[in-house]
Amino acid sequence: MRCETIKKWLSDDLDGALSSKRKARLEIHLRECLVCRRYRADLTRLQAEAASAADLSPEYWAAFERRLESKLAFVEPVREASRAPLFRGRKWAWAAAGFLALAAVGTYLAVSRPGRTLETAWVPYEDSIARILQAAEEDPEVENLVNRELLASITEVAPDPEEAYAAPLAADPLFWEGLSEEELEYIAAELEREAGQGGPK
Amino acid sequence: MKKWVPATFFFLALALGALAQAQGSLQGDPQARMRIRENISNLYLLRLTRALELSEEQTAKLYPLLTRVEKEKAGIQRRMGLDLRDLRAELAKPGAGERRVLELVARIMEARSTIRQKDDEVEGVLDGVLTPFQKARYLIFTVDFLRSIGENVERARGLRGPIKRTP
Amino acid sequence: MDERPEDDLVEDARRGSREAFAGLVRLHERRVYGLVFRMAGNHSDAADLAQEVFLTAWRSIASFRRGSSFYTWLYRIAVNTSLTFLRKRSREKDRAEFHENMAGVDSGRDASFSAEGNCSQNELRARIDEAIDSLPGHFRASFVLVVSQGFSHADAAGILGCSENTVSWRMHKARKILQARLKPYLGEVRS
Repeated sequence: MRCETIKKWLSDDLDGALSSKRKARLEIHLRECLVCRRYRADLTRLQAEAASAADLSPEYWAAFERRLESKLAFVEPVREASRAPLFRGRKWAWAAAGFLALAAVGTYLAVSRPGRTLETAWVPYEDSIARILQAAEEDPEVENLVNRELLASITEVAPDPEEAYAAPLAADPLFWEGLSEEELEYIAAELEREAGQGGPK
Repeated sequence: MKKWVPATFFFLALALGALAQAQGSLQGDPQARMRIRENISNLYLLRLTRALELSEEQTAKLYPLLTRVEKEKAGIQRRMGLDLRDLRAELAKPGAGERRVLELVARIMEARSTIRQKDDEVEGVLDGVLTPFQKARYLIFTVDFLRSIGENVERARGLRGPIKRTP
Repeated sequence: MDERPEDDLVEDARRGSREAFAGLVRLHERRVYGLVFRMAGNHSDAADLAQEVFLTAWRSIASFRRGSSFYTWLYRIAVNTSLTFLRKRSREKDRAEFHENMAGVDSGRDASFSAEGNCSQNELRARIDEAIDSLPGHFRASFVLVVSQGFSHADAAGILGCSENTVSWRMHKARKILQARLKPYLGEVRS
């Protein structure tokens, strides 16, 4: 049994998510492996220290609730009735029209006011997408989120009618050679989990 | 026809070379990979037989064939992996031999084609054994299963966190 | 104190009762605070974040679907609010990115502490807080929900909107990173 797998099982065991069968195999391995025993000791220690939380006084909570109450007085819940979409059924046509209108105005302003930078354009920099894109350049995590949102919005605007019939990449034998051992393990674990639940039909 | 064959191989070699080099750090222990792939195959067969709701007679006819073909594919896939590894090594040499490279490319493409033929063989047999509704379920299952593999890979890569860009 | 069952409080809050919502706040404030505190790493930001979570929940209470789990919905708001805050903060603050291959390297933020000296309980605690603080957002969210808040993988997955297996892998990765980073200090305490 590889130590890397044991480390994953140790993590699951700490969270009470390890099956009894695997737990038995885990204990057998630990009897013989000092490295994994030390790893377990480290994780157990981490668990104990990380789990404990700061305890705040009743006075603190009373003040917290008062502060919140004063803010709630100025906030009205959004009612469900008022959330009905204005442009039900043809939102993409409206979105496209809105985008074209914005683009037209933006182009006019860009042409008629030469030399303006993004910061002084009619859309305040603070509210523009440029700020988000700049953040994406600096932070890979933000970049991933921005890319996902953009792709999702493109899919939403122009759903691919052929998507359901596209030949999946995994059908190619070469696809599997591009996967790391870790990725293969993840796939196997996910399939095993779904097999236990019956899996998607 | 004769003129474009070497050119095709050249471009395929480039493509496979790029793939091989990109995978450089991903391969890990071949034995471990084989075990995990076998596990995935077994899980695939389990899911497939559930999805098709085979009768006892159909199971008796199909299961031995499906298991044998999966084993054969696994063997071919393993050899393909080793050839890709050799291709990577060959390309890393300062004076990479064109003949050796093309030989490996040909073997890898042959392996790829053989695996696909095995799938066709299975589908041919299924065609004679499954009912029309089962055939439909097989198609849908295959598409969904393969797509879910892709989604799982994306999730696994998402867990690895953002990729550090080298300057 | 409103002693009504939570479902009744939720229903009344959906109809606009601030009093009922205040009852829900009292039921969940400590856990929500614990979660955002672990995400933000300090009490000042945690207090603001916790307020923001409940304000967001009040604003969108009408969108809460009857029959689904209120605490899952509320904690999802808490996690998303925290992650948004962390993304904003990471642009403003000079924060060393945390990767496995940097394990054991002192970030230089606290030069006064040395692993070679005695690692007291408080110092270990501070190192652990710092290490959790530098986990990537989604790893931290999973870790905080499961370890600090005591959620099961299944419940954490419900809050995060991912599969149980994903939570399991994130926990494994987070622990590997933390153990590698804190090994010198854990070893010191152990000996």
